[in-house]
Parts: sequence; structure tokens; C-alpha cells
Amino acid sequence: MFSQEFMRNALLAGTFVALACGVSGWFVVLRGQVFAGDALSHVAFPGALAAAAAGVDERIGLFVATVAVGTGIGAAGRGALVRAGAGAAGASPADDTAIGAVFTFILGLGVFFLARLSVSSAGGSGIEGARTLFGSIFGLGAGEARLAAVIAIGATVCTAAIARPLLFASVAPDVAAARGVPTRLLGIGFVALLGVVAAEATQAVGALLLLGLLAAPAAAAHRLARSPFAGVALAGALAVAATWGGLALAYALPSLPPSTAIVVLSVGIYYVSTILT
Amino acid sequence: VRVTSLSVAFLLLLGLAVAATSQITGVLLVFSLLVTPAAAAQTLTARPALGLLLSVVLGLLVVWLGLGIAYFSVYPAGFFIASISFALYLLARLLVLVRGRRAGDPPAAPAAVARADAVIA
Repeated sequence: MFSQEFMRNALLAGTFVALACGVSGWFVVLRGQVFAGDALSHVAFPGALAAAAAGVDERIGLFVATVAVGTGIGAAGRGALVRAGAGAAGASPADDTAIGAVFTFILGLGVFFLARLSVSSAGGSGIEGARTLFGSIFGLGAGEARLAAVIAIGATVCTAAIARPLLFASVAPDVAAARGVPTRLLGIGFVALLGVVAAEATQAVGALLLLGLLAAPAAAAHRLARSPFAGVALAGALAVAATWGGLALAYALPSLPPSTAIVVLSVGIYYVSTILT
Repeated sequence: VRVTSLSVAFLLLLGLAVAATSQITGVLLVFSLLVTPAAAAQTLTARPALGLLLSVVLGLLVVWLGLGIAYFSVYPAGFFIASISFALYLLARLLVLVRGRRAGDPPAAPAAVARADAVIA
């Protein structure tokens, strides 16, 4: 299995992308921003298609779309909705409705670019679209895999660097703000960072299935771990485990796409965690 | 009131609506008919019955306009439907903003929106 180059590339990229997904996903679940994460992963699709229609590298489109929308969500949002307290008090922000309206419009643009591509001479757009939607981790070249790993490590390190104030700002936003933590800036920075992770993970599991890797291991870690930082570590470990298992499964069963295997395993981990607790 | 069975029944109906809508706009753009006209209606009015009516009217407007434009164009209807409903939503937000923010914005239901997305996905 490890003698195949495409497998080594997939493992290299998959491991670090999963780590980044698990770690940032833990904060996504904590802050009640699962829907924002979903929207970010969905706008990756129009981003890639727009880049393809404009004739530039599709990864540029991916990153521009997700980071721009992420920053927008962070800036326009009323901040994190923490499940305990604020959520129950009916202080839930109407953010989700606005996010839904905006990201559907951007998806509509994606359909437009898809139609443009198929009308123009570029051709092969159906494959392009399917690759963005469902990922193509076995199709990564050595250079792409290395770049994906470097970016994912960078995103993980950045998330770890802001982990303490972000945790404070997520659990007790008012107290954190009173103590001088820049909660708003942290919120924007975090969603922008999430955009980077989403763009990176789109190449591995695809825009539609990304939520499985982002939310499921993190949600399982929330159920299983008692302390916050143990939870972050566990979320990362579970996401990496799901990815390794998924890649191995997809290698053993050629008819099984790797994205499917990874997402099924990570959702399976969440299911087991609900039985355990 | 039997909350659990009500919510199950509502989700079933929602699933039916999503399945029907996906034939018009495609699965990814279901939101443009399911959420955006409703969100526009709820920004405009807080009254339930009026909001419901407005939401239906806006939805009809979006579909008719979208299909009409798509007939004369090479681009798919889903794109026009999504764009028109988003434009209506922006217009509604703008209208409310211009009218001056009254106290107590009508609360939308983020949980239901997220659930609708889960149904779609």
C-alpha cells in the first residue's frame, strides 16, 4: 500500500488536512458555527468553478472564495453562539438565515460558471465539478500534497496559537471582552482561518462531504473529552484516524471512493461516541 | 401540544418540500426557494399569517421570473432563481434598513435552517 506514490501523497495531505479539520472543528462545534462551516465548504465549489472559468488555478479560486466568505460571516455575524447559556436564552443570532441566503446565491453563481464552462471550449467541466464537490485525494500530485500539508500545518498552528483566548471568548464572550480579549477580531480571524481549512479539505474530501470531517470527529470529542484541550487533541486524533482508516479502506476496495470511506468512518466515530456516553 | 410528533411531522413535510424543490432548482439550490423568500418575508413582517402569504408570493414571483428569463437564455434556471431570490432578500433587508430599525427584529429560526440543510445534504 505504501509503495504506491498516489497513496503516499494521499496520506501526507490527508493526515494534516484531517488534523486541521479536527482541531478547528472542535471550536466550530463549541461556538455553534456548524452551519457556517457547512456554508464555507459549499462556497468552495463556486470558487473553484469561477477560477476554472477564468482560466486560473482552481486552488486560488477555492481560497479566495472561502476566506472572503469566512471573513464576511465573521464580520457580519453577531459573534459566537455558545450552546450553554446564550443559546437557551433565545439570544440565537439570525446569522444562519443570512448565511443561508448568501451561500445559496453564491452556489447559484457556481451553477452559472458551470454552465459557462460547458458552453465555452474548456470542456471537461463535469469532471471538474464532480472533483470539487466530492474530492479527489487519490489524484493529488507530490507537489500538491506537500503544499496541502504545509498549509494545513500552518492553519493548525494558527488555531493552536489563538486557542486559549478563543476558548475564553467562546465560552464567556462578555467576560472575555471585559478582560480586554479582542473577541470580535478573534471571531473574524477564526472564521477566516476556517475558510483556509475548508479550501484545503475540499481537495481531500470535497465541498459536499467536508462537514463530515469538520463536525463529526469534533462532536464526538465534545462528548468524550472532559477538558477543553484534551477535546481539541482528541478531535484532531479522531479526524486523522478516520482519514487513515478511510484511505486504507478505499485502497482495499477500489470501487469505494476515498471521500465516502473517510466520511462514513468519521460519522461512525460520532455514532459510537453517542452510544458510549 | 405533542411537540415531538409535531416536529417529526414537520420534518417529514420539509423533506417532501425539499424533494419537490430539488427538481426545479437542483439539490444545491433548494435554499433559494425554501429559505431565501421566507427570510425576505420575515424581515418585512413579523406577523405570522401575513409573513406566510408574503413568503409564498415572493416564492412564486422568483420562480416565474427565473423560469421566464431562463427561457430566453443559455444559462440554467437555477442560477436565475437563486439570484432573483437573493436580490429580493437584499431588497427586503434594505427596505427595513431604510424604514428605520424598529425595536425587535423578527427572530428567524436558525435551528430550522440548519435542519433544512441537513435534510438537503
